Amino acid sequence: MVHLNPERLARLLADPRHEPELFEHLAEGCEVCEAFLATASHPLLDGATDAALLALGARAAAGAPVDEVRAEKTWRRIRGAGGKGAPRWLVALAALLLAFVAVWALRPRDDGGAGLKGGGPRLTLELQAVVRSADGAMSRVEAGQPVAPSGTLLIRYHASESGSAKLVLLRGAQREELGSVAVEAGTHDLSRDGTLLGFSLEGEHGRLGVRLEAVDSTGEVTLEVR
Amino acid sequence: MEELARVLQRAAEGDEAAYRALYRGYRRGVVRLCAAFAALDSDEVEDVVQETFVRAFRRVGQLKEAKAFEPWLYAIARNRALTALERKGTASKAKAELGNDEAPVTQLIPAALELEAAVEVVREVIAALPDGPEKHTAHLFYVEGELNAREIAEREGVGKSAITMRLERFRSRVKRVLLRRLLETQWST
Ligand SMILES: [Zn+2]
Repeated sequence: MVHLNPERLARLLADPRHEPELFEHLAEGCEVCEAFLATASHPLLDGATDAALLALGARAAAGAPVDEVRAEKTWRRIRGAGGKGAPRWLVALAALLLAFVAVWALRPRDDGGAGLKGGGPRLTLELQAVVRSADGAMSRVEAGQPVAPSGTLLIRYHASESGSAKLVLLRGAQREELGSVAVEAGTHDLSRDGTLLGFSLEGEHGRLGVRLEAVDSTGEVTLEVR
Repeated sequence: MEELARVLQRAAEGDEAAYRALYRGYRRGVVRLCAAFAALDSDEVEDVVQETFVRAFRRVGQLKEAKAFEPWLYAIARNRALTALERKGTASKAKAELGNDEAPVTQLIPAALELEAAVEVVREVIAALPDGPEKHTAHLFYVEGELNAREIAEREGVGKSAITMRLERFRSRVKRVLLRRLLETQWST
């Protein structure tokens, strides 16, 4: 008797005709194969299985009381305990850390006479990303550089003028606005209300961008989390 | 589904009300998924709920279709629940290792795994089970859908882990039939 194992499951999913005996076997209940499936992760199959199982009782339980206090409490944790809709992955860090980050200085951008059209001073922004790993080590991240989904992303900016900018997080095509931050002329670490801002990279995957959008300039850093 | 597609679109744009609507709409499912694991207490369930939605909200913009949302959310939730169990030392090592796959956000739902077809499979599997503890437990938990594994254990006077094992066993039967249905459609193409 042929039973499921990781290799056979992979072959079956690629093309069931590769495993005709097993394909037939799966039409019947089998403790060995089901025990294997219980521990084998297949997100699509697992998700569909749970969606179906949970749909069954959903109508019956629709009238069941919901613990609103608990639900609200968890909701606040999801959207950030600090209120103001600050998401959980926006983390406040002690300013101490920055002694380390200050190892480089951003080049002030040479605008070569740009910005004359508006007459007044023009705010230009340039961003630099640093990742602080779980063990506390700091490393500068170049555009598009792959980083591990752990640690914290810190942003240093250079602004030509003081002003304010919108803080935006970009994940693939998804854009999330995280409110506005005050920027000061010169090179500084991104902070709000005197607290350094960092982005937890835990659970991130793929392209991640952080952008500061001012009226006439946008600074952005992009990294690849994997 | 169209309504869900709109909510997902707004969530992808970072709309707070859309996040909230998703949480309101799907919190119960995530809680119920966790409720099958008797080893998780109610605070640990809330931790899983939190982690699940935080992760889902981060990547919701990459979803390819609205009907993929629920299976995808539950795949994340199962993953988080298994990780929580692993932290407590109550999940088998194999399970924890296999459970670390991130749910792929970009997958489309094949017809064989669409909700209505899959619910039909669950009904068939229940109907085919002989009367006994597994059928009884599956009925209490999934069909009546109110008691959690701990409450069922108390009511039935059996150990908590026995209830979780029955539910897992039943779930893996359903998973086996769904796998077979999925493979059938591949066989014929
Ligand atoms: Zn078998």
